[in-house]
Amino acid sequence: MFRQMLYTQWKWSRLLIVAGALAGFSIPLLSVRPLGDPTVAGYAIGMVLSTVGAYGLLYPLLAGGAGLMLALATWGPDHAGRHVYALTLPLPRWHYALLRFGAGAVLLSGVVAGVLLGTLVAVASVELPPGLRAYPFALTLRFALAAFVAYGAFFAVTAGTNRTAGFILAAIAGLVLAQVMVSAAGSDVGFLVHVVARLFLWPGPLEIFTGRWMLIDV
Amino acid sequence: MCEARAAAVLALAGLLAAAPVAGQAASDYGAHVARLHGEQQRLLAIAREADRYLPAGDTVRAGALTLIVPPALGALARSSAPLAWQLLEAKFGSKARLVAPLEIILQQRGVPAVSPRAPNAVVRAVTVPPEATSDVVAPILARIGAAAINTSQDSALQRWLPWTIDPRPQPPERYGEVYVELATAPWTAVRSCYAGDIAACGRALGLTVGANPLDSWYGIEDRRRLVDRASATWGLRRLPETRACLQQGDAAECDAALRTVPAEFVSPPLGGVARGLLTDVALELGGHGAYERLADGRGPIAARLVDAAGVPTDSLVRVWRARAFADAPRPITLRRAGAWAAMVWAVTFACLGLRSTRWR
Amino acid sequence: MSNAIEIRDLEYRAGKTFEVRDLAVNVPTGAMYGFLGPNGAGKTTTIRLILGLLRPVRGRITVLGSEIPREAARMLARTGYVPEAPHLYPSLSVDECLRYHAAFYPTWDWKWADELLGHFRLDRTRRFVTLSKGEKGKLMMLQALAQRPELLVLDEPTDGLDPVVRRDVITAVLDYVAQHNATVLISSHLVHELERICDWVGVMDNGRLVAELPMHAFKSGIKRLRVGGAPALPGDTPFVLLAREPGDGAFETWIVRGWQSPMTQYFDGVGATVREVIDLDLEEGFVELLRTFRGPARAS
Repeated sequence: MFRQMLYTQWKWSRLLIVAGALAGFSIPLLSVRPLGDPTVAGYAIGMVLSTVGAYGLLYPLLAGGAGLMLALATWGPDHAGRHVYALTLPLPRWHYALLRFGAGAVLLSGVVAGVLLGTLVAVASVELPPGLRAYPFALTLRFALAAFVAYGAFFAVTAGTNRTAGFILAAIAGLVLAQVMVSAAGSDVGFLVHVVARLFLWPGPLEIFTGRWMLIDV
Repeated sequence: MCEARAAAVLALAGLLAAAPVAGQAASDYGAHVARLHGEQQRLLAIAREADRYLPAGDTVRAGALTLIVPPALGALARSSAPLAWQLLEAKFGSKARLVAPLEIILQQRGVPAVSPRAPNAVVRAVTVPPEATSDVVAPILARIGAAAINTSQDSALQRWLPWTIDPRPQPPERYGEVYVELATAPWTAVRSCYAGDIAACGRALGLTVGANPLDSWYGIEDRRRLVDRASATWGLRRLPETRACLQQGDAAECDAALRTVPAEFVSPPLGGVARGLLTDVALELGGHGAYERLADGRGPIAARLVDAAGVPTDSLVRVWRARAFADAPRPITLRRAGAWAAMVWAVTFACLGLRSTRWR
Repeated sequence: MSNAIEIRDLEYRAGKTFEVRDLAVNVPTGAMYGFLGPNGAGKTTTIRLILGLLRPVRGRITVLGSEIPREAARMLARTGYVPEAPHLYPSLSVDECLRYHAAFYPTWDWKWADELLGHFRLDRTRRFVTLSKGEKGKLMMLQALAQRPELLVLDEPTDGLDPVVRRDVITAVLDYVAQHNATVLISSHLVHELERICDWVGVMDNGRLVAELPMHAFKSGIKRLRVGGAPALPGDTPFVLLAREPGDGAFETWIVRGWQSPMTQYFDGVGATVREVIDLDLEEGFVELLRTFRGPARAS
């Protein structure tokens, strides 16, 4: 059952996975390019770290994007068929959803593997000046966690009904509207900022995405 | 404050004047600059004259610190000024009295501005937010006062220390900056300092100065890099000494090339933040009267720091280096707490997904 | 005789209007049960309720001994379903569709699936989305049959198909039923198709079951009588009077169910005469049944 589920999801999302893995492989290599330049290495380490940090912004974007696209690819065909086929298969709904989630998680690991391979090759291909260290495994683990958080969140939303998605959107719109009205009334209460802060500060779900993503650092 | 408006007007005038300035010859350019300077003085005089017509505010004094405030901010000023003065006295000792000519004007949006009292006062304006408390305002006032005190330092100290000695304690991130500089700077002395050579730290901080500072601070490779950097900024490539320096690595030629650039460009390998924090460490170790000893001292900077700190140079540098390493920024790549939280959230979202309803 | 499908007092609401109410259906085990009704009668809704795709407001549904929707997964393992609209994944090939489906059914018979594949002349390599309507119908039927179900639920399986495909599909179903004694619930608005293959019929209209009876009784039972001198009140009749309409002159038209020849004695007894007994075919009988169910000209 799982094998077939994995096969069909691979078929639906293989382009995404391959593109994501390639992107994940490329980002580390591009980020350490200045270190490979003999005229730069040792002379402008600050610039090197800035480059690594700039490319580091791409990791959370890739993690979030891969999670989102994979979740959409997971449930898209079922949504298109109004879940008739899925619901007439002889297994409980939660079991079916678990198979789908697991298959997606396995496929997402392909993107993570791309990042791991890219970081290892990048670090092996350059000579680090004293004082700098590479963190390929920590970076890859963080990427994996961010990708799975994104995948889990979008999986949960796309697994729901249109009504559920409507509730979520209505809740967000309601928050924004309430903030606008409160501000228009002259109040300084900024609860929307607090809500957003709760999401991005520990232990919020999006905290893993924040901060610097440095493959190489002091 | 009218001076701020005058400055804005001047900036706008400068922008508008930029077009005619472009492409002019050097002499025309100089004349234009002189004209602008005169214009600035005239506008400042007008601003000061305009300030006379502002309402007079309340005067709040704490020690040698003078605040001019609108009545609405009187309570805030009376609670903040003593705290600020305490910070200044603790740091600068008797030198804190150098803030006497300074008048700090407190402002707030929605509250009418006030004029300074003394016609020749050194005036600084501070705009405070509506909910500001003395805990917030006092350090700001102390910082302004410190800047005024720092301007009274002698030129040798100011040249070595492009940093305002701040009465407020420095956050760990500042020492973190020093650590990053130690770890990443290309200069030989800095890299040796990072590796543990305390004498190299002293050279990198500019504490060791011979007849030719460049001999203490930079090796020949370092000087070639400096000339290479300076060439881009100051257009040195056309100079024969530049070519000789870059191609042959001749130290004398490199020095000659570097002498053609402004002196500020050729400074000790470690930057102002590193030197400023070294000074902070010295003042902290020296305790009472440390700043007076530093400010009043004459002779090499190293000796003045030793006098201020009351400890030898090596010990001072060791403490400074240890703090930089202790506050080294942690690699932020993955924190354990963040990893656990992410795992919990991923599992939580997955469980929510498993509750996908059958009813559609 | 036990029932493969039993529905009691079923009620289902979609939106503000009732779709199904007071529904009671009995599909005997081993029967081929035709579910008849016009478009919008509630046939597909009822089927979806049987399969656990919809949640009833009240009522009880038992399929192959399993309570629905609580035990739907267990029931679905023994049930083959062909929906009205194609429901398989468009990007999968025929072969991939079969492999995917087979993974969920331990009873899957690959040998027979391959035979049906040849019989239906389906190309394994073609993607589902590129198949014609008839080919899609055949593939869905193949999947339902190859899993060796005890119950087949077919929702208008031949709708829109050409006669050749329709024949292939129905023949495959009949062959399967003959070999395995499976129960079949087949819904359609094509009366003549069901007339040939079903032995039970349930007629549905406007969310309610109008009639449920053996096919032979349905086919032979509804007659149109031309009655002369009919009494104003019919009283107790040995047949079911579905409707009476004024005819030409002194004669009325009576629509009755359950008519047998000796029942002319009734008319003798009330002083009326039966001028003519007209046999209705299944479609006419179906139309009359619905008309009497819906219209105001119901017999009291």
